[in-house]
Amino acid sequence: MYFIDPHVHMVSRTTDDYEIMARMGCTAISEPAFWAGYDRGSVEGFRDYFRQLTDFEPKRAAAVGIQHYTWLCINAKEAENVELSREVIAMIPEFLDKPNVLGIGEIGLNKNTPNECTIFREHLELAAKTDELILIHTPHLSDKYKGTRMIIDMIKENSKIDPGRILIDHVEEHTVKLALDNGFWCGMTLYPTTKCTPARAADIIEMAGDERIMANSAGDWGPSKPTAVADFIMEMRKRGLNEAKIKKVVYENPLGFFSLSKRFQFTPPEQRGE
Amino acid sequence: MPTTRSAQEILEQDFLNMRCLILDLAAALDRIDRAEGSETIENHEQMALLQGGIDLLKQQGAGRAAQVQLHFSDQYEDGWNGK
Repeated sequence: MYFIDPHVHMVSRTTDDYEIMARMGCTAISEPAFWAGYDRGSVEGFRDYFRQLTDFEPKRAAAVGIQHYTWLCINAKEAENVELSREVIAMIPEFLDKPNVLGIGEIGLNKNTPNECTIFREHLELAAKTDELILIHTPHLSDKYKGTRMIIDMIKENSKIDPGRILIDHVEEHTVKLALDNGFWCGMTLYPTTKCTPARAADIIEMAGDERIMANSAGDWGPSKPTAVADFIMEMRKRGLNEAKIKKVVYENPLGFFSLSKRFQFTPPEQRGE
Repeated sequence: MPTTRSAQEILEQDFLNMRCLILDLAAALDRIDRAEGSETIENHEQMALLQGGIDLLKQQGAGRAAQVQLHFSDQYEDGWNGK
C-alpha cells in the first residue's frame, strides 16, 4: 500500500532511510521546520536551513521516487529568543513561492511560556496575511493538554484563521477530540519510546473515526523510526480493518489536507513514468 | 468506528503483551525499591503520580487511557489569555 508520511524530519535522516521508506510504499513526505538540537545563532542559519528544505531535500527524496514537501517557521523552542524569531518570521516570505512549500509550520508551544505565545500569534498573523496552511506542534508529555487548549484559544483570537486549514499534530487520547471537535485536521505521531505507539494510534482511530486524521513518524535526530507509518498500517491490518479505511488515513487524508495549499502539486505513483 | 475484533479475540491476542507490560511495571517498581535511598522517595511527587496512574487502571469502562493522560497533565486555566 502506498502511504504519505506528513511529518518527518528528513534532514536528520540518511539517504538509506529515504530508500527504506520508498521500498515500504512511502510516496510523499512533508517536513516541517524544527529544532536542530541546538539554538541557531542568526537569521542566516535559518536561511540556510530553509534552502536545505526547499532545494536539497526535494532532490534527495526524488532520487528514490518520494515527493518532498515542507513547512517553514522558527520552532517554539527557539521562540524564547523573540528578537531572532521576528527576524526569521520577516524572512520566511522569501521562500513562500518555492514549489514544495505547503505553509507555516511546525509552529506551536513547547513549554507554554509567554514568549512562545507571542511568537505563535505572530506566525498565525503571517499565515493569515499570506493565506498559508498551518501545521501545529503541540507539547509532549505533561505540557500537552494545557498547551493544546492554549493553542486553540489563541487561534480563536484570530478571526482571519480557518480551523479547516490547520493541522494540530501530536494528538493523543486526551487531545484528539479537542482538535476534531473544533474543526481542525490532526496528526498522531508514532514514537518507539515514551509517546504514542502504533497500537494506541489504531485505538484512537477506532474511537475518534477516520475523518481529518493522519499518522506520522516524526523521524528526527532522537529515538524515532521513519518507518513507523508502515508499522501503523500493519497494526490496522492485524485488527482486520479494511484496506480502504487504512488507505484513507495514511494516504487520502494527507492528500486532502495538502491539497488545500495553493502550490500543492502531486503525481499519484500509478501515474508516474511513461 | 467500531472495533473489528470481539472482546474475546482482543483478550486472547493481547493477553501475553498485557501480561508483559504489567511485569515491566512491577519490575521497574522493584528496581526502585531495591536501590539505595528508596525509603526517601516514598512521598516523592513522581511516585504519587505513578500510584495514581496505577489506581486509574482499576476503573471500569473505556476511557482509561485518556484518564491516565489527564492524570499526568498540567492543569489548564480557563481564561488564561484574558488576563
